[in-house]
Amino acid sequence: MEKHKEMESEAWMEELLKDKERIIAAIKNSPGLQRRNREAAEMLSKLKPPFPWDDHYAQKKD
Amino acid sequence: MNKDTYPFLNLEGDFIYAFVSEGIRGKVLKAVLISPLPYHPEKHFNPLFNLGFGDVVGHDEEWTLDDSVRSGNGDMPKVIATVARIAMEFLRKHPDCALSFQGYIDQKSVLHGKNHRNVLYQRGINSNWPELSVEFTFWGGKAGNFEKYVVGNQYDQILVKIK
Repeated sequence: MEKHKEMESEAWMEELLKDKERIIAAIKNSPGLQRRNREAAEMLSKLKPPFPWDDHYAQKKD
Repeated sequence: MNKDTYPFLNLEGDFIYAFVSEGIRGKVLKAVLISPLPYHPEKHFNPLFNLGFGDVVGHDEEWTLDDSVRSGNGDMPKVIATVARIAMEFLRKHPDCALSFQGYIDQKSVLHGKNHRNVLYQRGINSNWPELSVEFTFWGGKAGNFEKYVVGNQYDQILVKIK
């Protein structure tokens, strides 16, 4: 049953993905995701040291 | 992480993935986009990527990706587990990369003072912590301050990197 559902879903996705190029363009150009990327970048750009990951990178260097 | 997940497809490079959510409202095409974030040398993370996901919706032969929707498909734990599996696969393939992710604040989130998608992400992290923390390092950010991830604390943004 589960396997059958999975195959149905795969066939459904394959059908949709005939329009793959336009779907990829829609994903890349999603205003919501672009806004969230900007918010994430902004939040990270405001951080000041010391960072909690400093020791992670120090260990990597050693 | 042995959670039930959907099979997923890598649509472009290692940066765009798709899978089909199947639940009480039928089939919904979901997409995950992993996008590069600007590099700040003094903050170490290089490269750093942001993970976002949403529903791929077709209207009048046009496609859009809506990351604000609640599909109401009754399978959110399986969807979140699939997104987590995609993130893990990406980090294993790109061990120098770090990933950032955060949920979204919708009306329900504002009402409850919680970022609901992050609550689900964190529930997934917390319930698999013994296994995940062996392979990955997590940091959690709230109000612009990050700390090493503490199970039980609530965060707005989460960073993760393979150890």
